[in-house]
Amino acid sequence: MIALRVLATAAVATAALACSRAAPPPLPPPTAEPDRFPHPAHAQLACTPCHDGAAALAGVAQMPGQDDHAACDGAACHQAAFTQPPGPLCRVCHQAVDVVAVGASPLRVYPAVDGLRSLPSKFSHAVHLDNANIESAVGFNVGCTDCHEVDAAGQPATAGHRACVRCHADEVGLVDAPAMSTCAACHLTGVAARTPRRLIVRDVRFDHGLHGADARGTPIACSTCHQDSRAAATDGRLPKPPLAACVACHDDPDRVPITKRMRVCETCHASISLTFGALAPRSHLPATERPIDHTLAFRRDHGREAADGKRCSRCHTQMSGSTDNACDECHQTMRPGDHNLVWRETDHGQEAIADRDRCATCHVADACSACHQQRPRSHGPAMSFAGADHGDVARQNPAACITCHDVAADCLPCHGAVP
Amino acid sequence: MRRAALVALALAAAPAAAVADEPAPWLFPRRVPMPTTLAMRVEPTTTPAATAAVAPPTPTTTTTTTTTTPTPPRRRRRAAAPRREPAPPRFTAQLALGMAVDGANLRNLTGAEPPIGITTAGSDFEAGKNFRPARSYAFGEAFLGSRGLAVPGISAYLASRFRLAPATGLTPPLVDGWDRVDPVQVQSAWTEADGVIDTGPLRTLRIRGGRQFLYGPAVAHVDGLAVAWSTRWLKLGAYLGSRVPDWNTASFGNEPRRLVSGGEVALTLREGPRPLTVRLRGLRYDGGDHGDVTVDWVPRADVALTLTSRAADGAVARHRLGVRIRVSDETRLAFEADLRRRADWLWDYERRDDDPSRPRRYLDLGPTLPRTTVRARAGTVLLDNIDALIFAGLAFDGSRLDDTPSYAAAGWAEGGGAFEIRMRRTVAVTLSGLARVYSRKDAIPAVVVVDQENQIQTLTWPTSNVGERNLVEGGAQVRFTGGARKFSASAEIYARRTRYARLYLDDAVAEPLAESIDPLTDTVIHGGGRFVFEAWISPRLRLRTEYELSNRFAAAPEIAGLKALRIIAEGRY
Repeated sequence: MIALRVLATAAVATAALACSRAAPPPLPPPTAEPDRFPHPAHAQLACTPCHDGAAALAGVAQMPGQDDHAACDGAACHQAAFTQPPGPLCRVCHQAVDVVAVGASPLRVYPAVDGLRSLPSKFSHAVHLDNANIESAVGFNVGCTDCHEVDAAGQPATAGHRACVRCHADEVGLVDAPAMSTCAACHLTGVAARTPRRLIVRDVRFDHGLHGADARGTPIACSTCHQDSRAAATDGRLPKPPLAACVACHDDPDRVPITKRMRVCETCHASISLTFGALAPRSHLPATERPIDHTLAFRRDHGREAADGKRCSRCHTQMSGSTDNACDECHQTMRPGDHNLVWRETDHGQEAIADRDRCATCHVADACSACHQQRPRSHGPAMSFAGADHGDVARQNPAACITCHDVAADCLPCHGAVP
Repeated sequence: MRRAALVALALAAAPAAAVADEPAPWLFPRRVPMPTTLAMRVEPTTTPAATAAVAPPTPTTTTTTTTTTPTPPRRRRRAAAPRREPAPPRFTAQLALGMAVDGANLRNLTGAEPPIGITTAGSDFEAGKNFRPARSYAFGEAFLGSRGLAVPGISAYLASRFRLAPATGLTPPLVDGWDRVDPVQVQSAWTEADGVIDTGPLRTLRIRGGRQFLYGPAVAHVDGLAVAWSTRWLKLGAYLGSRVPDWNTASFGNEPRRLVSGGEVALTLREGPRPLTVRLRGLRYDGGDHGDVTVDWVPRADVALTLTSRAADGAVARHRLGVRIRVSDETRLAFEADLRRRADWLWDYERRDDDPSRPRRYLDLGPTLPRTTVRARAGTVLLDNIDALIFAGLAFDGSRLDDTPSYAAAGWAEGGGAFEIRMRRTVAVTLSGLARVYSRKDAIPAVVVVDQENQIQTLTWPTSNVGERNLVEGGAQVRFTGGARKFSASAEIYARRTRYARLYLDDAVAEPLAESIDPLTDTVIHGGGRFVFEAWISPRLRLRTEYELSNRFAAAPEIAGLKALRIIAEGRY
């Protein structure tokens, strides 16, 4: 009853606290680069008034406005804005505007380096890496570096119009393939179609130039990491290389030097190092290993790391994930390795005497008496044990007797009276 | 120049009052058809909305333009929400169902005269009448946890286990703690409110109610309420509840469930990567007061010192010092020193002494006697593939000669280690060993008792001198794993040789030959093997099979060893 009352009280208390919390205000709908140039809002226009059509056909995409804002300040468009002080319209393209000094109005980077792509192409790696299809269309296969040109430092470039025009120029006349003059055949519209420009973000550092070959000198094909690119139907669905691809090499001592192994966070992360409370996520770990610090020593001394139960609960799913008072959630269920059948029958007593604190990590006294109150199998069901047979057992290990029996109360009444 | 003149003209003519209503240009993208060719398309009919979308801004000043520029919603949201981000909602469920079979075949001792020294107790057993050579039962565990599903900051957790075994009244092959307890044990069942208050001083308030484990001077299992509150420097906690009698049985169920109360005050004297914390904890149960003070200090990165002194009923009961050094992710050192005094409790806070008024517990560990224990452990990974752990320890019996002798208070010295060697990427071999030598203050009797059959003899040996003299243990395991959460299999063998004091000789053995052929040997070897197969048949479903067997026990000659088979299916969601 006390427990029920406590539970009821707790439920009421927690419910009251919950009700006192104000509902968060609704968030505005997600937008992507709301202050940048909105291509869809200009869809009533063709591409060429802004973009140089001849340059596009030649494989170059020029930023509009290079001809004294000719595209934007037309009478039917934003001419009025150019008669007024610099405003939001200017900041669509410029970082700052100086109306006096020439060349003092730097342009914003467009597209942003880590931003989202506007009008992303619906380029299909699956189509372009289909050797049979491409060979029948253009007469040769397309490799990764055909589009992603590699510079002197080994860094592949993002493919652009210049790569496309080699095959898609109007004069090539590809059948069932878009020509350069047909913009919408490649470029998608709408917010949803925007895709990240970069896959290497935050503090991750990756040098393509260093991944041309492994420590043995064996070349590393692009598809070793970009395993699913060949199946990507659109550029927007181009998956990141799986971490398993990193692990496969960076845990192989033959392919990666020890200083660049998977366990060395600094290999890839500029601002992460392992501490007591941090650990690489499981996806970074070799598939056949436990977390790197789960050594034999860790099994004995992990209290400090486990003080925050959140970390444990990533893998140990029987845990609540609560940050306090969570030790029991493992210690009540996961048996130590030495708790085998013989341990259960006999050997645990020796360890309990040597270090009862280790037992008390998981067990309370009730757990001991739950077994020790039962009549041992060796005592037999018959009275003969009490009469004579117990001596056979007692001679083997008298300590087993006095685990439960008091010598003065149980033994000496018979064995102490005989001279 | 033309544009500069126009700007100057606009600045001069712009009325100041009109600047506040400057409409920002509509820059949000809209879904409209994309032109499909480079040819100019016919401009659609201008609608009011379209006109507004491309309408030029009205004349304004620079300053006003800046203030009316729409702030990106993301930036605005961050500025208005300084509170901490709540943990993502989560629901977890894990259910394990298993079937086990324990077995212990009786040896046929009823026919011919049993070997010398082998007990005839086995003759009293009869399978199916008073003994069950095999027993099967079902068992399982269930865990449910939720965090922030219905209401942010509200969590709930349930951990329970059960065992269902047919009750026949026969002696089972393997005694189990479940045999006389409720078939369902609820270990934890609590609801927690943590961070449900967004702002103010109570935003760190945490309340947990229900069945839970609480960590104070002792681990307490209670049905109750725990409250905690913290700031950067101070943490306060308190709890109250009734003690949960784990593994309690019907025979002990009449014991009153006394109240457990306690609290904690922790003061962080220094923050940062090298914190210094002083913590006071107290627990009161059944008229007994327990408390400890802990100083937790990280003097250097990855070095942690913990000093704890515990008191019981006002008397100092125990001191503990622990040093943990993490040299690297894989290399750790640990040192522990422990000084137990007479005021320490017998087992835990609930059993401070053997209260004769309570039901007999059938586990006598003797009186609490002083003992000093020092341990050291070191672990590392050698050559990238050998996980090594070595340890050593010393325990000094601090009892006086006038203390009640107890074999449980003996001093000892031990040493051991374990090595896990990765032979292949999927195969690892683990070797482990332990050696321990006991030191007892009372001497082994010079005269060994010669057992005389069917005669009641006087027990002349000191009752405290019946424990082990030394033991040596070794084990080896081979483990194959196909990857995390895929398939793994392991085979393990182990053995422990324990040497006892020679106290008895059998009267059937001639005295001169006693050393060589006396079957009442002072050395006992226990050993066994364990085989485990584990397979994840789906990302959330695991099957596990364990088979264990042991050798024949010297103290249980009536059986031919133990066997156990466990099959478990576990689902995680």
